[in-house]
Amino acid sequence: MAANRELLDAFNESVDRLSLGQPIETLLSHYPVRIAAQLRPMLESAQVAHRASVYPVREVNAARERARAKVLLALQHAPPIPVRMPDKKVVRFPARRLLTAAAAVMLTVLGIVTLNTYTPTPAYSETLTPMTAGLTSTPTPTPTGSPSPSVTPTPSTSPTSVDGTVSPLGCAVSAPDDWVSYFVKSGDTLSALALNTGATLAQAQTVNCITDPRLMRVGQEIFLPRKPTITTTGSTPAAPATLSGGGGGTTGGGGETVSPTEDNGDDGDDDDDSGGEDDDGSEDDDMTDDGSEDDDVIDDGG
Amino acid sequence: MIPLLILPDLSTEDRLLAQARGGDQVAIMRIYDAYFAPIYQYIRLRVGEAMTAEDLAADVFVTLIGALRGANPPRDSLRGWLFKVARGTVADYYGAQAKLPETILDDWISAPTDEQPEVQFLQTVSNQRAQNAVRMLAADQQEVLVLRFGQQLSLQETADIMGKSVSAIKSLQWRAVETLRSILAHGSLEESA
Repeated sequence: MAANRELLDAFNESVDRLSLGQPIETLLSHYPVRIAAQLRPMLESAQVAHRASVYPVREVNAARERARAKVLLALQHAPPIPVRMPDKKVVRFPARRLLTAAAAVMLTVLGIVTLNTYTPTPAYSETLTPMTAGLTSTPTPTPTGSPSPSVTPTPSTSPTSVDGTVSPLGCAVSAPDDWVSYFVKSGDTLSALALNTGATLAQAQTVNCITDPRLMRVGQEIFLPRKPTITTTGSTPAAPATLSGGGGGTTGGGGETVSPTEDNGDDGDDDDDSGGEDDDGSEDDDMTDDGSEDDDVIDDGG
Repeated sequence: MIPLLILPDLSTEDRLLAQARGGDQVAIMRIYDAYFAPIYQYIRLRVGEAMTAEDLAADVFVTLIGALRGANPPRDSLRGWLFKVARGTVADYYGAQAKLPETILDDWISAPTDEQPEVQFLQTVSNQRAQNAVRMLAADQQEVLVLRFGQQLSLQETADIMGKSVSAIKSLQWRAVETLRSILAHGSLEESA
């Protein structure tokens, strides 16, 4: 099909609107019939290309977990990060030496500490299904009663889709300071946990970037307003299981209840003793995960 | 077309990058958690084979870890940097100019017949057939499809990753979609019964 200027422009315009979730029929209605007729198969082919990129969540998550060990190994064996001067500044020679020494010490300490306290967080990529209609994009959900946490999800720069939900072009797990971390146990459902701890399901989903609660896994770390008061099973809080061989992947469908049938495999490192993955605090330094996140990092502002 | 892959929003991305550049290893693994899936999917579509894609995707992040310690870490756009490395990794794996090998075709839907007009046909194309069809395109056409329509990156981001101008990307995406349409409409030589 030859493209004249008009058709090309129409195509380029439509492609962007297509990514916002507008149905093809709506897009085509903007154009005269002769353009729309040629545009339609093009837009549908673009949709095919989009679908071609989709691989099953299980496959993607399993690949991520299997590959994690290789990446962790590289991280642990890499030499300490050299002092990174701010890109545009020049530091005088003697001061540079002192700075180098001080920074090297601090970075090494920081490196050891952060290695020991690294806790795998729910991956953004787990939430591969589109946001359900139940979630809204308003920053402050209606409070439900005691205690009603004011949840402010990190604003996303992504466009909203046609029905008003925020399209999942970026979701940062962002819990209010007083929320606590909780590891999902077998038999938990997000709605029960939310109810138990004074949040709405929508709030819990928004904070934890969980678009589909059925994809939660045993051992997954989520944030709740407080620790749940009644555990659904009698099991002790388990640290996420270590990854073995070909494990990993999400639990399947079949209802919201998290089942332990599949290794959650969130940790990649099952043989290296240097403590990259221990969540039960058995390693030396006991800093909470929050502390290592934002503070104490040398930020070169680059 | 609701986006099916999630990249973190840009402010999160910038924050993670700054932390990673500063040596925060938790941030580096968070980057891994967040970006593995899009990078894997990009590579997976282009190499067509899961284990290879997994290895190559891991290599992208190993490269990131090395680069953070070197003279040329990612500076402006983490996603741009990661996709560029992924792109280079795929090119190295297959050789710069080589067309990617066509895979064994397990599952084909037959080409449209008179009873099944092209338009309806496009809607019923399976993912498998779609993937096989994309892999028949020339390398740069594949890339633009995967980046623009698979990953939903912007024209500018795609242009940066591919080293082209925005207007070149606009032309390329048209040609790629048109070629894909043609492949899907008229079937291929490898089509089996």
